[in-house]
Amino acid sequence: MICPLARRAALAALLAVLLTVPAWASDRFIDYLYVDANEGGSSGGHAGLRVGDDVFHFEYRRPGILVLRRETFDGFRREYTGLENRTIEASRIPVSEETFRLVRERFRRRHFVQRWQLEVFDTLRADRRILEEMLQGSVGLDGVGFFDGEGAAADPAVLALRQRVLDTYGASFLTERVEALRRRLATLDPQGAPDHTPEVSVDEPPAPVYGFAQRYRDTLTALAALEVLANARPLQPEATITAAGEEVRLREDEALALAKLSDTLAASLVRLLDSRRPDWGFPLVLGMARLAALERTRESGQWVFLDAFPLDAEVIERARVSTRSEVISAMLRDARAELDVARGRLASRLRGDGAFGEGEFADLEDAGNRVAEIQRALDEGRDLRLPRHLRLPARRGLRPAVLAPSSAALAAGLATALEREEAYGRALKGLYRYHLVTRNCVSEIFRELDVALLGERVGTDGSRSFIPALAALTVNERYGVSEVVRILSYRRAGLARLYGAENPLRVFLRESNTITSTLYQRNSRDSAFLFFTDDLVLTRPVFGAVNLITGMAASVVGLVTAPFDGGKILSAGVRGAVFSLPEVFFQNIRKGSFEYVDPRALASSGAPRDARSSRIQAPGNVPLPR
Amino acid sequence: MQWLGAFSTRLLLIPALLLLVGCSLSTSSRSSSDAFDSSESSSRSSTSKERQSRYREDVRTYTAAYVRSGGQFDAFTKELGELARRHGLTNWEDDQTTYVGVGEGLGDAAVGEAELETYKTSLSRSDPLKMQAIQLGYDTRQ
Repeated sequence: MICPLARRAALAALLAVLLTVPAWASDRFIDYLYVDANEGGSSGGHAGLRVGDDVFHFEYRRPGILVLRRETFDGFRREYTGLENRTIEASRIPVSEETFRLVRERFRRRHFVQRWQLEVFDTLRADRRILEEMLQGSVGLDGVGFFDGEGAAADPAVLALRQRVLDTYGASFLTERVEALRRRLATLDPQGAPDHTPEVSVDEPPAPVYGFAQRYRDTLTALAALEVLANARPLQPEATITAAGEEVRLREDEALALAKLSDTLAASLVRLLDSRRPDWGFPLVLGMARLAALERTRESGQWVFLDAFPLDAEVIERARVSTRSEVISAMLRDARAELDVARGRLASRLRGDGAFGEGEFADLEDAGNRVAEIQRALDEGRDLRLPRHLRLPARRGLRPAVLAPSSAALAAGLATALEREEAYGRALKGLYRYHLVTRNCVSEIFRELDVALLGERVGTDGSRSFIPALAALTVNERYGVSEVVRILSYRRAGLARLYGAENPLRVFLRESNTITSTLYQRNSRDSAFLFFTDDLVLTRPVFGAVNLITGMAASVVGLVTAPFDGGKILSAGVRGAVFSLPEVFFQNIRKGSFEYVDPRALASSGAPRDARSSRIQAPGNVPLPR
Repeated sequence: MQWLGAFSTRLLLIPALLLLVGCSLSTSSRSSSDAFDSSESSSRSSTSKERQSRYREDVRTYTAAYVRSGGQFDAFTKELGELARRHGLTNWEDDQTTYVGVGEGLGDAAVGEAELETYKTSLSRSDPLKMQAIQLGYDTRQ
């Protein structure tokens, strides 16, 4: 027992020596980030590691696994100090160039391996769903829902593309392609597919496997794409999004460049039809839909985009749109700015190499979707779909499962697919299982540092390092931290500005509560509470007691309204009471959160810009005594 | 004073922390019931150059891992397609960054000249610009 402990202590000491160099001797830094607690997402605080512009942090994900996320520092800060309104403490550790590289590569690799494994699991799950659909007689295909079915008038843009394809490859090209795809479909065998091995490791990614279900779906998508092309099917009106007014009006220079944009896109689609990649169906159908949307843009003089909102997008109901005018105006301002940037990038790409810049076009599509959605909600009094996590447009449509194997073969394939999915899920859960004390967002950071610098997992010292708040103290003591910078939460940064500009007593009275605060607007995700207690220590128990009464009162009201609101007020009230209790004992967890934060306000709250400029102290940040 | 407040709060938090969930829930966990959701939203604040660089890095890591682990070639290109899609690209064959990333991955996997030529020919279908991009990526990792 003594030996492992002694070895662990020795290795930990060695790690401390290896990791750090004197601040004067290095211009490289690694930041240990401690994010303070809030209700809902993380009552115990959170931790991350900033290496250059990457932030690595382990998040808890159902069903009880730890997932390593990698984000830019701006993205991390927007999520945590912005939307979640939590203060970050960054402990800056000066390191050598070699240490910096080792740590970055280790975390990047670990992130890549796990993401890939999770994607393999997604694929296995998709395999099972495809087989279930095939047994029902039809399969859902990405992109196929963009286009109308039989009987509709031909789309001029798709018609022109078809002619270009036939001119390039010959009159029989489409027929031959269809025949080849049908032959491929007929030979696919659900039992002959290779399998993902259920063995998983944190160090090695799985080998790629392309199984029956994916092959069947990709081939069917290609067939559906060719059918759209051959018949020049028109776009479904509801597959697009646009808005009236100046925001998305086609500018003069854009109108001139539109023909070139369409031409380069069409040229890339013609090349795609000659591709050997097995999954060219979706890119083709998406490209055709974009081509048709560009034609509508030309006709109407307003940008028309493919709708990129997911079906389950979070919505602000139309009745609440007017009461959220400040938030929505900020969202619109932000989206407009991004649309302007995207327009500029696309124009410069077209002027440059003259190729169709899909990345630049996707940015334009993304920003255009957001501007159009917000503008429509304001102008037409619609529900507003929140523009978070937009992905590539991929409107699904159903197609009959033609040339499928027999039902018996599909049923056998489904049973196998289910077994594979469950086995892989179990393996992943075993490998990345979360544990409050032994395996959490802090312990994993230390373990990965061990591997990066010592080549093996040493383990934490077991005393207090598993608690995010206290692990920051351990880091400060052990790793030669040169500076600790506090990056204030969105509300507290706003408070600091107000205290500097107005009468402090007036600011305190107005901003200390959720009713008169100008910085905070009630977020439906927050519990019921009246006073903020995160910036106050002395008055915390009194404010906490009032919050407790508020939560209890809301719970009583919620009991009455539960049949009508699905228990929303009751839940907010109960959570309100629970998170008020620690406040009565001088402890704060709840801080309130935001539906949206203005990126410019966040930028002005500042942070050390990057790991090579530690001495830059941004206004609003508070250096802590050490 | 502020520091003392923060410190005492931390100490007082210990018993509460033992009873409560530590670490952040992922956004997807909060909004979806999907177990093992692999989605990861890309940051809007990143510039197009940064995203291109991240795409190239992913292609490089993936290619190197594929070369080491082996597998069918069409599974490799299928997976390249999935990877590109997560970066907002569907027609990855028209994007030079893909070929530079593949070349870098081949360099990282330390493939020999003969194997490099095989990849160059089969992936680029002998397009000289694409072959050149693979070579360029390969050379930078030597």
